[in-house]
Amino acid sequence: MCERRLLLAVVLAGVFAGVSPLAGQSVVPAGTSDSALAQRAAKLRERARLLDDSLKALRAASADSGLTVVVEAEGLRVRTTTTLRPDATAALGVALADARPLLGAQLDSLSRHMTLTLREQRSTMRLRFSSLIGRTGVPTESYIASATLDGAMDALPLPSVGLHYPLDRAELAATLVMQFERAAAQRVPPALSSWLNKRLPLRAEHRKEDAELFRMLATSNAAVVRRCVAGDRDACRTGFALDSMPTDRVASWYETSDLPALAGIAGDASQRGELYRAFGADGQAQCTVQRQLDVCRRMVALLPLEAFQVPMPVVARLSLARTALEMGGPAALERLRSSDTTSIGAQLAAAAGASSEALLERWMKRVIGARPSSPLPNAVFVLASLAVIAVCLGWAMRGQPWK
Amino acid sequence: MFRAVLYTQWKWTRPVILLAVLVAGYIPVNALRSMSYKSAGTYYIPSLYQSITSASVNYQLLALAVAVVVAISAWQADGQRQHVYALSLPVPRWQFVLLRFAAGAALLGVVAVAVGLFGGVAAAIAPLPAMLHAYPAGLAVRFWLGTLIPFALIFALLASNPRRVKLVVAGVATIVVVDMLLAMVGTTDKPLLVGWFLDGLYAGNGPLAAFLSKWMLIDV
Repeated sequence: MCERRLLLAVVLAGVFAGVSPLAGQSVVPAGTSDSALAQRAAKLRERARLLDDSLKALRAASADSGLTVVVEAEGLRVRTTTTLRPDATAALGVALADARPLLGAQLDSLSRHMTLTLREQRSTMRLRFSSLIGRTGVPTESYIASATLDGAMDALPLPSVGLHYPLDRAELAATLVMQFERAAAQRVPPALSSWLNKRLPLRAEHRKEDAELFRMLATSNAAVVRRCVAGDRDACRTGFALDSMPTDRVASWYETSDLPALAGIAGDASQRGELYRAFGADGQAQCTVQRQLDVCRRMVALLPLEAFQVPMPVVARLSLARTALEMGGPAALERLRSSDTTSIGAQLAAAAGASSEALLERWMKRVIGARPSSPLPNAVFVLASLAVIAVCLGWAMRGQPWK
Repeated sequence: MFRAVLYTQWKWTRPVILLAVLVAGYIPVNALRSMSYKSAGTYYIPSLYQSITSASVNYQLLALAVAVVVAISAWQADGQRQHVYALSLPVPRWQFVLLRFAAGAALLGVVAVAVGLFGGVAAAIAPLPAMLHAYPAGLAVRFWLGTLIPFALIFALLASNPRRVKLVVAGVATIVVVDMLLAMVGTTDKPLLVGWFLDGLYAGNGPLAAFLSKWMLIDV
């Protein structure tokens, strides 16, 4: 039996060796020079590359099949299919109207350099509900299951976004604005783009979002963020790292009581791995669960400086940048691009056309002003509840349960 | 008359109301006890906030449980005696129903007051960080409204004609079964009517929407 297996392995090895690119070496006639072998290898590599390119082209052509329509508005072109054309046309108009007030003339420039593609994602499998086993897949005729919006800015690809089908035009318009945000972020200084998580905020914020932002900041891990929404403007400057990154980030941004949480979340996976090796699960629990602050201090001290990021969450940074763009008007982005300063605060101030202090004051006023009120139920809710109770009571009073 | 009805219902529901008052006292203590009481500086705000958010679910469960029990208790004795006693009373039926409802609402109010009172005391003892505030009165009002809605729904169901109740239940069951069958044979992707029904109850200003929002004793 063992001999049989060995024989089979030898035969299979021979078969695979025959199709391997290295197999050529075994059939090369004796006396072939090294340079000839090298040429032959180069030819094989070139052939493999061409095949690879053809495969990619075939895949791209397959993905682009049906993209026969180009929707164009204000210089921006969106390639799409006949089915998706009405949605793309309507949403593009809305998105451009949303972005125009903040981007001004920059929008035309962006439009010339951007390409967008709205694709259908087809499927031949439909999920069917089953009360016993949840959902089952059933083969069906090809149908549009979803859509994707891809884009590129100066040939640099923008992240693809998936959309539900049938398309919600408001959602599609918001997604288009998000692609504008990503494209516009490529035009601002790299440090600011990174600070903004590679998005330039163009979408209007609502008061409800500001209220949620206030709640998020007021219950933040970092003391400096909480002090900021308590009205401390210097804390806001530090928390946003508007001037520069502090040398001692832990001392500048966090209080002693924040250390257990900080030690539990700071750092990337490899840095967390280092901490685990140094302290073990029990050692870490002494800080994060038992809140032994001296253990926390030792854990935090082991982390490198880069482990502690700007404490203001990205949402707050985007909100500040949006305030700057609103203050600056249509020329804000142009001023931001031409700003030759290095600090984030000075760049945003240039965009706002005001001092960074004035910008911060306006942002603080907006966010602090959106502080959620007492959690007493609102009038609409009270009236709706009373109406339901009244209906139920009326129903009960007419009831004759003895019948 | 109201005092008599209230007293009767109090006798029927006394153990449940007392238990609910105790639970109302335990919920804020449980939510705050994991925190250090030494000084405000030693609070860890995110975990405190999370703890209070979890407590809000406990308040909702308490509200639902106490509302169901009080509503069932209001009609249980009458149902067992074929409503003979209620019909022999010298008051019109609608007035008697109103009295029963008011008595139930008052008993639920006792639990709501306990929620506000215990929440206020617990928040006063615990030194809260500067950014967080206690809202015991707001919570008590929300709790009371939150209990009244399921109470009213069950109360009305039990006080109405049993034949009509059977019809309603059979109608709802038929709709649910048909809806699920349509989804199973592939006419619809998922049960739509059940989804709409639940959305109607819970979304926006639906009668049970209160149970989806957070009932926060402590908030920003």
